[in-house]
Parts: sequence; structure tokens; C-alpha cells
Amino acid sequence: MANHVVIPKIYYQGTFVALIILTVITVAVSRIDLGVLHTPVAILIALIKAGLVGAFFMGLRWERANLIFVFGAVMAIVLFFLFTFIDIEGRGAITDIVERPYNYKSPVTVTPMDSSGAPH
Amino acid sequence: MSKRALPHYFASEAQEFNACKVGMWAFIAQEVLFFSGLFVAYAVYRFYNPEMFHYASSLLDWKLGFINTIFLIISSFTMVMGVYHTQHGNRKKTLINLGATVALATCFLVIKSFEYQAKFAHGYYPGMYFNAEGPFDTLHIFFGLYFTITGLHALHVLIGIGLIVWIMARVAKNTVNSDYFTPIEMVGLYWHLVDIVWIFLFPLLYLL
Repeated sequence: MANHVVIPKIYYQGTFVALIILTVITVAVSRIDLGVLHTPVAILIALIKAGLVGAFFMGLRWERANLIFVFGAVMAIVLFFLFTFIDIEGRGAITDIVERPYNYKSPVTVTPMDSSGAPH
Repeated sequence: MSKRALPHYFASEAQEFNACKVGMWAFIAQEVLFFSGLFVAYAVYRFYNPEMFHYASSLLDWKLGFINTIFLIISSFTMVMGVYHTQHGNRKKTLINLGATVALATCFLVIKSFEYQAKFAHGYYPGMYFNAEGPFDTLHIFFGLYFTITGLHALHVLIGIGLIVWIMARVAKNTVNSDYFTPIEMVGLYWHLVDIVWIFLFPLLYLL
């Protein structure tokens, strides 16, 4: 398999050291009170670490064509989060708007249930 | 050992290798999407219960999570060094590195099982078996997610151990070597994915 790229191990060693340092940084920043930035910073560091693993350990730096799969997966996740949060973040607001001018009520009748779970 | 015969449906070794690689990456993309459903569930419930998540996260031992993160990162490094030594035809160093990977993965699972036992001792069981008290009546949601996500991740670690042991057997038999290292490279890709998933899980579960 002489046509295959064999990567110098200095890349692997460098990535390894960087990942350990970034893990320590992850814990360190979680001890600092960053307020609303707490989770975004944690995710940013995790993305950098995942990028390092992908680029060097998984060889994406030398095989750019496979990035299409990463791109596809990331776009699918973005859509997944986007539409889910448009939904759950907008729900209350829709109810509020509808309730006030139209006195809209839910068409669902809530019935009490007995101990077996069947409606009365 | 005689040279391995190329399967008749491939035109060349390069084509075979590239076909395997594309297939493996498609599988990895699928795995990412598989886990993404759980991450979305996590995000939605955390959106609705931010204080409960903060409290529940403090019930987890971040030091054990940290040690496990380090274990997985080292194991990813030994995995990649295993691939490297295979490509360079060094069978002994390959087996040492793969053995270290299996040992670290086993340590990961052992620590995880101690963590689970500590949670069970407080009645933090998954799903309907949850039997504990706390300041939040939604606490079972966090632990349901925790056990599902880390449990599925642990299953991936377990499968990874099996695959690496299989690769070690093939390296020992010399059916995976510097002339043909496609299987070890594919198992390596899988193992790095398991590492990446944990890289995200550690801060999201342990460090709120």
C-alpha cells in the first residue's frame, strides 16, 4: 500500500499533548464563574478538541475529501437543533398571542385518570 | 506468509482502501447523528430545567469524569500509534500500543461502573426505577439522560474493545501488516469517534 500517506508521528504526539492541555483548561474554566458564557466556552473548547482529533488522529488534514461527511453531519445537527429550538422557544409566545385576542382554548379535554391509567 | 489476494471486485489496492475509507466515514457520520438525538434531548430538557441540571451535575464526581477523559485521550493516542507502527511494519510495538488501548478502555469502563454504583446507592436509577429525593421533582430527567447517554457511550467502548482485540489477533497472525492495514485504520477511526463523543459529554454532564 505504497500509495497511502504515512503521517509523521510528531503530529500525533503534538495532538496528544494539546488534547491533555485542553482537557485541563476545560476543567479550569468550569471553575470560573462565566455566567451565560459557561456552556458556550465549554462547547467551544470541546469543538477545538474534536477538531484536533479529526484533523490529525483521523487524518482529515491529509484526506480533505472525507470532510464532506463531517460537513453533512454538522449541517444535519444544526438543522436538528435549529428547528427543535424554534419550536420549544416559540411555544409559549404562540399561546400568549392567541389567548389574548381570540380567547383560544385547547381542543383537548383533560380527564382525570384512575390508578390503572384508564380515563374515567 | 503469501501476499494477500485482492478481492475480485476491486480494481486496485488503492481503490479498495479508498472504498473502505468512504464507507467508514459514512458510518461515522451516521454515528454522529445517532448521538445527536441524545444531545438534542439533553439541550431541550436543560432549556426547561436549568437549575435542576446545575444541581444534578454537582451530584456527579467530576474528578472521575476527568480521569476517564484522560484515559480516553491516551487510548486514542496509543491507537493512532498502533496504526503508525503497523504502517511501518513494527509488529511488537503495534501490539504493545493496541494492548495499552484495550487496558485504558477497560479502566474507563471500571471507573464508569464505580460511578454507576455510587449513583445507584443514592437511588439514582434510570427511568421508572428512580427512587430518590431532592430539591427538584424533575431530577429523574437528568439521570435518565445521564444513564442513556453514558450507557450508549459505554456500549461503544465495549464494542471498541472487542474490535481492537480482533485487530490484535490479526496483527499477531500477520494478516494485518504494512502491506495491508485497512482494518486497523478503520477501527482507529471508530475509536477516535468514541473519544470525540466523550470529549463533548464530559463538560456537558460533569462541569455545569
